[in-house]
Amino acid sequence: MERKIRVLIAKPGLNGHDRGAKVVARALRDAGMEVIYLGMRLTPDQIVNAAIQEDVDVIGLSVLSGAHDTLVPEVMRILKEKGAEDIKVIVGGIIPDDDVKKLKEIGVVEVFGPGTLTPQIVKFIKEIVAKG
Amino acid sequence: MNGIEIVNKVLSGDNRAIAKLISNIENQAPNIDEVLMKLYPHTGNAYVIGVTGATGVGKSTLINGLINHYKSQGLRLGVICIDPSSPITGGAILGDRLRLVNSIDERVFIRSMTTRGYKGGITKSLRDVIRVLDASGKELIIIETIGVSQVDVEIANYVDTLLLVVMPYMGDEIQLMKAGLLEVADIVVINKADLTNSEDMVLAIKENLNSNNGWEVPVIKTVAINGFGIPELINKINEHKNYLLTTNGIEKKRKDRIKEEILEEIFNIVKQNIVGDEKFDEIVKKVFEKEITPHFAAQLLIKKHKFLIFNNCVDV
Ligand SMILES: Nc1nc2c(ncn2[C@@H]2O[C@H](COP(=O)(O)OP(=O)(O)OP(=O)(O)O)[C@@H](O)[C@H]2O)c(=O)[nH]1
Ligand SMILES: [Mg+2]
Repeated sequence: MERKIRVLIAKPGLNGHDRGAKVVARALRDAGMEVIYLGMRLTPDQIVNAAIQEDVDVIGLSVLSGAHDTLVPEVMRILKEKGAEDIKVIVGGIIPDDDVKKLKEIGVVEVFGPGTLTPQIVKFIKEIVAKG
Repeated sequence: MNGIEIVNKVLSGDNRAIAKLISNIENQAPNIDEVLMKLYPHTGNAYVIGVTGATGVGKSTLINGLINHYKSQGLRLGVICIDPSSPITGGAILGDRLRLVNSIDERVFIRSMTTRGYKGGITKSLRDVIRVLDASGKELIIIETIGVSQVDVEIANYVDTLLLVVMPYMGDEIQLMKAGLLEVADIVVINKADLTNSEDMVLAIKENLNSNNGWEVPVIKTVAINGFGIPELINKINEHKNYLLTTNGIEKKRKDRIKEEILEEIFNIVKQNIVGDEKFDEIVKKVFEKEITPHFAAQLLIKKHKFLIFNNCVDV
């Protein structure tokens, strides 16, 4: 049987809505992926725990400005602590260029800004999973 | 990781290893049979509860209530949530975990799965996934499946206690469940009892229940969002478990289950060795043109491949 791509979609932090995250989740589903939709108001611990138990290939974090410089690094740190740094992390949201650079430095594989079309995200995920 | 390493880690309850092994089962990884064989002696200790019912009746929210209770008792828990996959793309959005996220931590292992095209509201790998959680030391395993129609009774063959969850306003559906899920349920839960007077529902269900091998199937009202009825539900689950233990029903259930599984395996083994037959299309044509019956064709193929089937079986 073919191997299914599994993705966790979550929105850390307390603010905002999850409309964008839902749009991405649906696009990934329509591309044949198994999407674990975790919703919002999540702690980094909850996100990493879910990612490990669900054995996902990719974590997609939808972040609002402000959350990215604390919560995303925390997710990366806990992943590492649990020996799960092979799970790829992508981030979506409005993030200043300087901070995008910082996120990539700590291991985030890609940051998708507003206006990203969902097929781009689908294609990107398929590529990074194929690369392993 | 090699087979022995995986087995040892799973037995020690390592979440990462459990999760990886479940993926390997789902993807039918090459060394999977060997690993499962090593785990098998460590299974059979967990009690398995199934929670089924139509979509949106509140299964996950109820499970959340059960998790909180059993966790407070210090039990080690495993939860498997199954959702259908799209028949066209094979994709799925798995949203059950969302309802459980605040009650869980590393000590509760939850896995979301799709049916991957399998019928009956369950997934092909379910038996093996239950065994992995069982061997990893989970004392209680809860399985959520969608169940609406007669074909969805399959879950009854996988669990010790089956809860059927319905909600008020489902009068017509109850009629439909009469010859299916209602027959196999051990406990019926009317959730969302806050929405309307559900007494009529209780009566409608009671009228359609048959007693289940001497077990009087209880009908319980709950409001999963505020916890109403959960203690009573837990009492009934305990009573059912005790009933099975004292009447030896559990042994019978589990032996029936093993029998069922062996028969299924026989079917799969035979099928696997035959589907590749180069003359299959010709035989189909013969059946299509009414030269032979499907029954005869099946026997023909089994005879033709008997050595292949035989040689592909391990020596025991
Ligand atoms: N009023 C009311 N709403 C409830 C109750 N239990 C659950 N809900 C709500 O019903 C909706 C569906 O609940 P879930 O627990 O996701 O139902 P489910 O059966 O697991 O749904 P699927 O997994 O999609 O089949 C949610 O919005 C819940 O908050 C209840 O007792 N009363
Ligand atoms: Mg659910």
